[in-house]
Formats: sequence, C-alpha cells, structure tokens
Amino acid sequence: MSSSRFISYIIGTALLGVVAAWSVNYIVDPFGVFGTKFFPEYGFPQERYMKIEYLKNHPDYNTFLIGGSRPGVIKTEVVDSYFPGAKTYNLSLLEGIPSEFEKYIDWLVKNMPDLSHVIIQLDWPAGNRHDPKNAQLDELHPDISGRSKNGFLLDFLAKINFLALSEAISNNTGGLNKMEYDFTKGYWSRPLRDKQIDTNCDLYKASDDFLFRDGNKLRKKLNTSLLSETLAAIARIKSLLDEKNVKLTVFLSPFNNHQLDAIEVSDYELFVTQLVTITDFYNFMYYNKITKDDCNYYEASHFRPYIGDLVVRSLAEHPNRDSDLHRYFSRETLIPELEFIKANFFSERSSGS
Amino acid sequence: MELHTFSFFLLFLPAGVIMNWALCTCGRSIARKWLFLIASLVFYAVSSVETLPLLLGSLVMNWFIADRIQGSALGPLRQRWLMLGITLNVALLVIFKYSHFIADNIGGLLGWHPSLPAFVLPLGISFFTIQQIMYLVDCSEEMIAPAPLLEHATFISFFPYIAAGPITRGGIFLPQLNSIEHSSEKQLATGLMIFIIGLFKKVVLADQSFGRFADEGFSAAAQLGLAEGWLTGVSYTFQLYFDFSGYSDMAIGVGLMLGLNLPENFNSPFKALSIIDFWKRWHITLSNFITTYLYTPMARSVRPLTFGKAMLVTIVAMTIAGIWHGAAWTFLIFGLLHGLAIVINHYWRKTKMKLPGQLAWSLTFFFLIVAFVVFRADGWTQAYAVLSSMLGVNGIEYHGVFEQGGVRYLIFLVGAAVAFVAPNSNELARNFNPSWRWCVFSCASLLLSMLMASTGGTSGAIYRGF
Repeated sequence: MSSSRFISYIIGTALLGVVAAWSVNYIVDPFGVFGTKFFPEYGFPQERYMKIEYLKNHPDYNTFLIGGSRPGVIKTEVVDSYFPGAKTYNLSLLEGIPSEFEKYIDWLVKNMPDLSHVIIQLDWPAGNRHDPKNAQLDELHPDISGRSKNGFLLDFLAKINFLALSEAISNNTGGLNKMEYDFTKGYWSRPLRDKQIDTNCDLYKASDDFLFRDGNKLRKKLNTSLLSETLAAIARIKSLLDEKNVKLTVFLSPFNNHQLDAIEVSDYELFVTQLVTITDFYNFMYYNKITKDDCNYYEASHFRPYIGDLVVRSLAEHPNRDSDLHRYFSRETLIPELEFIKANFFSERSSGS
Repeated sequence: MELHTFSFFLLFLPAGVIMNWALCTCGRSIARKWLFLIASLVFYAVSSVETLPLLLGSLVMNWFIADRIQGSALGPLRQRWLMLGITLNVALLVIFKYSHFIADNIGGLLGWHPSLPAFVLPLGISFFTIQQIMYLVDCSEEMIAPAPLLEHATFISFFPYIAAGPITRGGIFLPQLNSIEHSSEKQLATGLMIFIIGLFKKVVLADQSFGRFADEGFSAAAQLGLAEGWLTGVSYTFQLYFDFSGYSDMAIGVGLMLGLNLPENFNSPFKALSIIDFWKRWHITLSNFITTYLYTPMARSVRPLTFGKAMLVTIVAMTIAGIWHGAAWTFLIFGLLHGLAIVINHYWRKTKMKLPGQLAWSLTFFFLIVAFVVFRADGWTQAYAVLSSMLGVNGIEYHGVFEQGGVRYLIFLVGAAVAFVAPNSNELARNFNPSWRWCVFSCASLLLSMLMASTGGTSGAIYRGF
C-alpha cells in the first residue's frame, strides 16, 4: 500500500467519524438544542437552554417557579389559579442547584420586565452538586454562562452521548419513562408511568429495587461546604429580589420517606436553623401521609403531578395555617418547628419505618 | 487546546501540515519558521494566554544571555553570564512553581505566614526552563552556536512539546529547523500512525480506562482491601505511562508530519529488569538532562569522586528530579525513593550476583507501583492509606470499591499486553511500512479514540500540570 493511500484512508476515516457524529446528533437531536424535530421526542431535553430560548421570545411572564427536577411536574395553570394575577413559567432545571438559580434569577431580573414573584424549591443540600455524567445537561445557556452560542451548539454537535441517544430512541418508541414536555409552560409529565402506577402500584414498586432504595443505608453526614454554598446562594438571591421588590417564596420539597431516612436529624436542624435567618420558608420535608406513601412518587426522588398541585395549594394558603402537608418556618416559629421535626423523625424512625 | 483534542487534530494540525508542506515546496525557510512560531504562540495562548508574556519574556532573556555568552571569551566572564542565565531561569521556576510551597513550609516551621500573590502556573514552565538551561550550557560549551531570536523562540515554544515534552536539545532541533526539506509521504504516514497510537494510549487507555480506575481507588483510599489497593496502584502506574507516553508519541508524530525528528521519550519502561534500566527507558529526555546537566556537574565538583560520593550525588540528583515534577513533599519523596533504589541497584551490581529475570522484573515493577502511589497521592495521608491497603492492613477481602466485570478484566489485559509485551511506538515507527493491516488498525484506533473522546471526554495531559 502506498503512503499516500494510507494517509488518505486515515483522513477519510477521521472525516467519516466527524460527519457521522454530527449527523446523528443533528438528526436525532437528543437534547433538543437544534430544534430539528426529525423525531417527535427528545432524549433528555436541555432545559437550561431550551427554557431560556423560549423565554427570550416571551418576556411577559411575571411568576417563576425555579428549582431542581422535582418541581418540574408542577403545572403552571395551578399556580396561576391559586395566585391571582400570576402568569407563571416553570423554570425547574434537572440537577438544578442554588448557585444556578442565582444566575437564572439574575437573568430573569434583567429580561422579564413584569417579574413580581419567584418561587424557589430547595433540595436537601447534599444533593446540590452536579453529576459529571450529566455535564451536557448541566451546561448553562450561553447568555447566562457568557460562552459563545456557536461553541455551545458545536459541543452538542460533536459530543456523542449514548445515554441521551438511547433515551431518545426509547422515548420515540413508547418507552415507559417518556417525559412529555411543554416548553411553553416549562413543566413535564410522565403519562405512561402514571398509568402504570395507577393500574398496580405494588407491582410498580416491586419492579425495580432501585426505585425506592433503603435510605437508612445511605445516611451520612452533610458536607458542610455544600451547606454553606447553598445558604450563601439563597442569601444572594434574597438580597437581589428584595432590591427589585420581587416577592420570594421558598419551600423544601416533600421528600419521599426513603430519602428522609437518609438524613441526619442534627444536620436537618442545622440547615433549617440557618435557612430561616435568611428567609421564611414552607417545609414539606417530613414524614406525613403523603411522603410515606411511595405511590405518590415515581421513585424516591420525584413526586407525581397531583402532589405538585397540593404543594401549590399549600403555598397559596395563609402561611400560619399548617396543613397536614406543610409547616411554615419563620424566626418566630423556629423553636416549636425544630421540636416538631425532632418528634416527627424520632417517632417515625423508632416505629421502624 | 492539547494534542488529543478535536480542535487540535481536526483543525489546527491539518492546517499546520498543509501550510508547512506548501512553504517547504516553495523553499520559504523564513516563512516556515514564522509559521511554526505563530502556530506555537497561538497554541500556547489558547491554553494559557495570561502567562504568554512570561514565556515571551523568558525567550528574549535567554536569547540575549546566549548572545552574551557567545560574545564572551572562554573564561570567567562567560561563566558569569552562564551562571546568571541559570540563576534567572531557576528563579523564575521557583517563583511561579515553588514559592507557595516554600513559604508554607518555612512559615509552618517559624509560625509566620506571608501572603504571596496567587501565581498562575505558566503552561510548560518546567519544560521550557530545562530546555533553556540546556541551551545556555550547550552554547557556553560551544556545542551549538546561539540561534537568532526567531529560531530560538521557535525552538523553545514549539507547540508539539511546549506543554509536556519531549525535552529537546537545541543541537537536535535547530539544524532541522534550518532545513527546508518537507516531510516525505512515508514520513507523513509514519507520523500519522504514531500520532494515532499516542491518541489511543492517551484517550482510550489512560483517560477512559486506567484513569477512571485510579480515581475510583484513590477517592476511596481508606476503604481499599488488599487486591483493591494493588489494583489502584497498577491502574495509576498504567494511567501515567499511557498518558505521558501517549502524549509524547503524539508530539513525535506531529513533529514527523512537520518534517522534524523529535527525541524518543519512552522505550518500553515496564520491560525494565532494574531501576537503573527503568530510568534509561522512562522519560528518557529528562533522564538525559539529569545525567548530563545535574549529575555530571555535581559529580565533577566532588573531588576525589568515590563510589560512596557518587551514590550520594545520585540521590541528590534524583531528589531534585522528583521535586521538579511539582511543589509537594510526595514528589520529593518519589525522587528520593528512586534515588535510593538506584543506589541499592548499584551496590547489588557490585556484588556481581544476578537475579533470575522474572524476579528482577517483578521486584522492579512492584517498586515502581509503590513509588507511583506516592507520586499520585494528594498528600501523605492518602499515600499512606493506599500503601497500607497494599499491605493488607484493611483486610484481604474485597470491599466493593471497584465494579467487577469482563470489560474491566479485558482492559487490564490489553494494558498489560501493550506495556509488557507489544513493541513500543519507536520500534513500530522504525519498521513501519504502510499496509492494509496497518491501515485497518490505524483507522479503527482513530475511530475508537474519537468515539471515546466524544462520549466520555478527555483529561489534560498529566505532565502538563508539572
């Protein structure tokens, strides 16, 4: 074989590899960043990008729900119905963390002229970090990160993500995990999963050990630097919104009992004690009839849409009126609420749940 | 930008090769040097624009001192210029690389904590400092004539080796730079093949395989069982070898494609039967520097040079080589361990006794694993934890730190085959003749490397951080 032929085959292979990768990514569009829509369903929609792209052309929202993936099921129509005058967009972000909320809220303040209310969902601070495996999903919108849009899109063109591609294939062929997104409102749903759970919840729970893992075995001390980062970001958000006269509502997710089992009570007390010095908040994070029933969840992390409706209703109720789903935390109620948490956790854990 | 990134090998490299080919064909020697210099400065600036002025300053300073050295007659004045040059280069390295380490340690002893500015470590400072010291010494000893500024700057900043070597002597590089012969098709094909082998070693074996295993092990250092401790050590040993030798292969391959022969840096080091043998095979260009520019002058200064004094000088030289890697006690201990091992090796040789080949190889490789654990650890605590696990302190049972599976075993098998059995890339290059077999192998390796770089991402070259 001649050297020139050898060289041309190598160059051809490299070009073929690049063209193949680019073509697959562009046609399948597993993250939805190109909007090609050759296939109706995405794999993992890149919420950080797609939601801002939508909002850039629709700056008339005045209420934003922001958080991790958990509040992603909350319907904005429900928020609008409970909060008079609200026109709400669900800006939940998969693996969203407070330092990102801060950047997105800063963008909202600058680009949404009618902004009047921000509702933030907080997770247990131990979860406030990104999984490197989801780097593409966690990439911020270029307008927020400051990088060039072309560079951002080129990354999505060049990098092959088998997980996202296989998810796209699964979603386009009726996979049970299919998430239906409405980017005009920002929320998602899983109708096939809901149907499966509603048909036979016990069968669903037994289908995969991973869905509701034993939280006791996962319990470990909270990383204090994660706690500090979380609280510092919330403090900066509060300060920014106060300065702009925008109302802030903060709530802690209705954690599933298996996830509550993984929390050290002393860490919990530390977290809420420090959080309440920054802002009042609604607390859904304790053992109750909702969080103890696994059928209200897709898995230990994500509650189902009707729980989201209940959360919104609770947020709209008078803060001092405790429902059986939430408790209201303020500096004035801190001491009795800490007592409540201790009693709630100890009684549940001593009863062997 | 690094040699294994898409932007380099899909855009930067082809553009450079085509332009170099065109300039060589037209006989434009000066333009070719400008091409290399501009490409090198762009390559450097893309990675580390904030330290580019430091590189430029260092280039000009060394060019000026080399010129002064040539202008001075042999004798004290020339010696003074040389000493000034070496001192300034070492000072630059100390300031940017070691000042915090020194201040922290001295401060810790004296209870005094000076606040130093937060220096950014300039890309390739350890490499271009060594290269310029060698250059000044070679000029002083009239082994080479000082080059004009354009050639000097191109020689020092040349993009294939600026970040992680191979450390190249002026006597090898500068005559080639002045030649206007473009690479032959055979040279291009060989360069491409070596580059692909390097890319495969770096991306597939180092980043996506052994690097991940090593990270898993070191991040769970306190929980490792006996086998897991050794797997962690072996994983890092392989990761470092494939990462560094892969990067060197890529640099050599790029050089060949541009019509320049760069020195070989590795020669199957894990086939070594002794530590002395290992250092003739591992990071050969650094070993040459240690021998020629550190050990020899130190040994010459000790009169009379007895065997014992020579061994002491060896330990000092290896300890300096250890700390050259980075500002941490673990690097110093790594150098010291190797210095001691070389001394033991020399004493053993004096006894004229011979170990069976397999035993000699095993002892050498086990020592290397232990030393590389110290090299990799982020501190003594982590090193101690991994080394303890290797002694069975945490028990001999399996603790579940590593996933077990056929793919992982296969990767270890491939790694071992490449490191212990297969011919190395220099041997392959020497005997390379394009064939269908080579073509299929190269295309498959390239596609797999691209796929894995695309799916799993890549890490920076380990030696780039030194």
